[in-house]
Amino acid sequence: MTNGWSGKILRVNLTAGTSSVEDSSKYFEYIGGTGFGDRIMYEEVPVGTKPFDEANKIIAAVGPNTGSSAPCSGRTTFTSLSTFTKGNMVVNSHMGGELAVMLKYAGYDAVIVEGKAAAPVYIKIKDDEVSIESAEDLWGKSTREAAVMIQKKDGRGFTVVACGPAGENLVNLSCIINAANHSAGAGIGAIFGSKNLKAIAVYGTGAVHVADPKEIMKLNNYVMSDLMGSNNNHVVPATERPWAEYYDPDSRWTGRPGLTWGAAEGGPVDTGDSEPGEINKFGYRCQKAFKDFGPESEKYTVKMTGCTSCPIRCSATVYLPELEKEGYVAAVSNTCMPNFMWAKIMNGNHKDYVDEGDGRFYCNVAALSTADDLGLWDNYGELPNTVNYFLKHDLLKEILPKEEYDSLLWDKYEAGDPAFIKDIMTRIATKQGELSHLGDGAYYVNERYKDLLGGKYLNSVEMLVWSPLGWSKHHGNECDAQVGALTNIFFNRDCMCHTIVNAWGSGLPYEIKKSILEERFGEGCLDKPKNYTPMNEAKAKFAKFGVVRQTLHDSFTLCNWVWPMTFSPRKDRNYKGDLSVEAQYMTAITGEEWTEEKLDFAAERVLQLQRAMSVLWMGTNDMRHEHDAVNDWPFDMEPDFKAFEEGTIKMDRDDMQLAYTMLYKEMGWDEKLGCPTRETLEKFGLNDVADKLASLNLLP
Amino acid sequence: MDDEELEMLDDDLDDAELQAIADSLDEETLRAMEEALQEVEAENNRVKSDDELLASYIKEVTLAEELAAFKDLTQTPPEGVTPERAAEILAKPEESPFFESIRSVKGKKDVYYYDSDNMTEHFAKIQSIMQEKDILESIASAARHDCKIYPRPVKMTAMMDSPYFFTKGEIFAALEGMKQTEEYQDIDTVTASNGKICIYSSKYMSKKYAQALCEEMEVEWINHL
Repeated sequence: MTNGWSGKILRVNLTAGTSSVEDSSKYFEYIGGTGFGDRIMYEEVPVGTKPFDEANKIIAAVGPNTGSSAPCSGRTTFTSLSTFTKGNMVVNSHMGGELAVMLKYAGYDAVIVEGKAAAPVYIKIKDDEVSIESAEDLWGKSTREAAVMIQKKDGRGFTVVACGPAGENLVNLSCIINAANHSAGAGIGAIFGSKNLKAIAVYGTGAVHVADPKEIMKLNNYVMSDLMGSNNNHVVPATERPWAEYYDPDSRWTGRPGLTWGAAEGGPVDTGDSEPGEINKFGYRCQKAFKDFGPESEKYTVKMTGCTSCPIRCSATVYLPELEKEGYVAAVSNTCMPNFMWAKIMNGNHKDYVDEGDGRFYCNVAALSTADDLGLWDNYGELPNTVNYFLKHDLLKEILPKEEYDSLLWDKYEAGDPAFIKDIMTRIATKQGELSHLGDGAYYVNERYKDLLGGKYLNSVEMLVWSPLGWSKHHGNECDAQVGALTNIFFNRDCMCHTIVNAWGSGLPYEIKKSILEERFGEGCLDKPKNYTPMNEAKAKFAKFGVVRQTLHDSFTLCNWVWPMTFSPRKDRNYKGDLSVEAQYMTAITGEEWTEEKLDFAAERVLQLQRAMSVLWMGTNDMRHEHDAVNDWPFDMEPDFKAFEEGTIKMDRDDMQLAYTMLYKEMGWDEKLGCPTRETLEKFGLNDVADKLASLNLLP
Repeated sequence: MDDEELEMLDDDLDDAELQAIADSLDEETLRAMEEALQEVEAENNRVKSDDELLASYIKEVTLAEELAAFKDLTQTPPEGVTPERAAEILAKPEESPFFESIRSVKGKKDVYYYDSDNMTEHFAKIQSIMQEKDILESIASAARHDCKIYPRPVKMTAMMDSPYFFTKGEIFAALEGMKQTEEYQDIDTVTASNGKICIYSSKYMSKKYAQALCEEMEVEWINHL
C-alpha cells in the first residue's frame, strides 16, 4: 500500500477500445497533477503533434494530497495540447469540483486517454471496473444534460465531467464541466470532442491512505483556525467589523451580520461574523454572489457551494425563476469571471426583470448558464472581450457576410435582452458561420483578421492579451509590477498564478505585507499599489516563488486560488502565515520527512521540464524573444503617465528585459536566452531532457 | 431530569423531544449536565460586585457593536450600581480585575468604554464618532486612515455599507460641509471613469494618485481578479 498516491495510472485507448493499469511510482518525483501530466506528455506525445491529432493525449491527474482532507485539495489537472495559442504547446488546465477525490477513491493517480473512438463514447470508471460506453445519445447534449443522463443510467454516485456542443464542434475556446459548474478550460473540451469522447464518469469507493491521519486532522484545524482567510486568502473582512483591525472593500470575506443567502431553503440565512479561529462558521465568510453580481443578487442567493474538501465555498448558487421562463437553466453556480464578464457584450444596455437595475445581474446569470451548458470557455474574459471589441468597433459588419450580420438578434440587442448573447454563444459553440471564428482564441482571431485589425486588437488594453502567442493576462503587472508580469512566461496560456495576487490583494496594509514578504524575499520585493519601483533581485525571487508554489499546488493538489498561506487573518500571529504547511502535509501523508525546500525543489523540477518542453516545441532556445515577449499595451498604456510614476501600472521595456535576466538567473537558465542549461536540468535529474535538447542543438 | 431542567436545555424543543433526548443519554452524561446546570444556577444566584456588574454591562454593549458612554454609565448605570459608584469605578478602572479587558476611547463629547476582547481600538474609534453622530468626522477619519495605511481612498459606497450606513444624500451634504470647515480642508473626492466617487485626504495622497487608485477600485478591478 502506498500512502498519498494510489500507485496506479489508468490508460484508456479509445482507438482500440481497451484499458489497462500501470504503476505510477515512476512519476512520484513529479508529485502528481501538472507534474504527472507534463512528464507523460513529454514521454508519449511527439513534438509537433497537433491538438486534434489522434496522437495527442489527455492526462487527468491528481496528487498525493488529493483526498487527504486538506482544505482545498479537491483539484484535478488536465494536461494536453493548447488549441488556442500559437504553437499548440503543452498546457495544463485546472478543475475543482468532485472529480479529483473520485479518481483517488477509484484508485488512480491519473487517467491517460489516448487514440480516438470511431463513434461518440464516454468512459465509465467504477473502481477497477472500466468500460467504454456509447455516447451516441449524449452527443449534442449540454454538459449538464449529459451528466444527468449518465447519472440516470449508471447511478447518482458517479461524478461526470463532460464537454458540451462547443467541445464536440472543436471550438478552440471550449471547456469541460464537472458537477454542473466546475470547469477545466484551455480548449480541453475540443480535445474531448476530437477523440469522440463526450464524458468521463467516475465512481470511487476506496480510500486515500495516509501515514499519520491524526497529524492531518491537526493540520486541517491549524490551517482553518490560524492561517486561512477567505477566497484568494483575503485575510480581512470587506467591511469594518468590531473584531478586525483592518478591512478591504475588495475583500472576498464579504460575510457579515445582515448579509444573507436570501433564497436559502427555509428562509434567509444570515452570514454573520466568522471571526478568525471559528472554524465551524468558515463557510459563511465568502458571500460570493454579493461580491460577483452585486447587491441585486442577495435575494436570489440559495447558498455557496464549492469543491470537495473546500471550506471556502467560493461558488455562488443563485436561482432566478424568471430566466426559467425564457428557457435558461435558472439555478446555477459559478465564481469569478463567468459571473461578471459576459454582460459587457451588451455595452451597458440591460432589460430589467423584476427590480429596477437588476438587468445586468440577470444578463450575467443567463450568459454564464448558457456558457456552462455549451461548454464554452470564456478564457478569463477573453471571449466576451473579443465579442465586445468587434461590436464596439463596428467590426462585425466587416467580417460577416451581410446575410449573417443581419441574422444576428439585433432587436434583442436593442432591447437589452441576454438572448442576443445566447445566440452569439450558440453560433460559436456550433461553429455556425464566420462569427464562430471569434471562438478561435485571440491569436487566431488576430491572424484571421490581421489586415482589418492592424495590430490594435492584440495590443489593446480592452483585450488584455499578454503574449503575442495569444495568452491573456491572468494576472500580470497589476500585481506588484514586474513580479506579476514575470509569472506570464512560464505557461503556454494565461498564467493563473494566484500566489502573487493573493498576497497583493490580501487586504492588509502595505507596511504589514511588505514586512512579512521582505523577511523571505529581501528588501524591495513589494511595491505600493500603482507606485512601482525598478526591478530588483528580491522581486525576481518573489516571482519565482509564486510560480513554484503554483506548480506545487497544481501537482500536489491544492487550490492556488487560496494557497499558499502567506498571510494569516490573526493579529496574534502578526498576520504572518505559514509557508511550510504544504511540506507538513506531505510528511503526514507519506510518512517520509519533507521539508519546504525539498517540496519546492520537486515542484521546480516540473517547471524546469515544462520550460524545456516549450523549447522543444518551439524549436528554438531563444525564449526571451520567441516565447516571453509581451504585447505593447503594458508599456504604452496610460499616455499621461511615465513608467515608475505614482498612479500607474505602466511598465518600462528596458526594465522588463532586466527583469527577465534576473528571473532567468534565479531559475538557473541562460541569462541571455532564457532557456534551461544542462547544469540546471541535471540538477533536477532531467538528464534525459538535457540530452534530447542537446541532440537538437537547443541547449545554450 | 425535571421539567424545569429540561426547559433550560432548549426552549425550541417540545417536551416529547426533550424527553427523547434525555432518555438517549447515558448516566455519566446526565450527571455532567446536571452539574453544569447547577453551576449555571449558582452563577446566576451569585451576588456580584459593583465593578463586575459595570464591566459586564460594558461587555454586553460591546457585543451589540456599540460603546458605553461615560455619561450614560454614570447617569443611568446598570441595575444594582449607583451613579456615584459607577463614577468611582470608572475613575480607577485599573483597580478592578473585571476591567482587565475594558478600554476607553476619547471622543469629542465624551469618553467611551468597550471590551477589547471583542472590539478593536480601531473599531471603537469609528464607533465613538458614529455615536456622536458626527458624519463629517466619520468620513474624514476613514479617508485619512485608509489613505495613510493601506494606501487607498475610501469608496463612497463603503460609507453606505456597514458600519456607517450613511445615505448618498448624507454623504454629499457632509462633503459639502467639509468644504466650509477649516479642519477638513484635506478631504476631497475623485471620480472614476464609471462615475463612482472615492474620498481621499490630501495629507496622505496626491489627487493624481487617489484618482488612479479610485479607477483601480471602481473600474479596473474586474480585470485583476
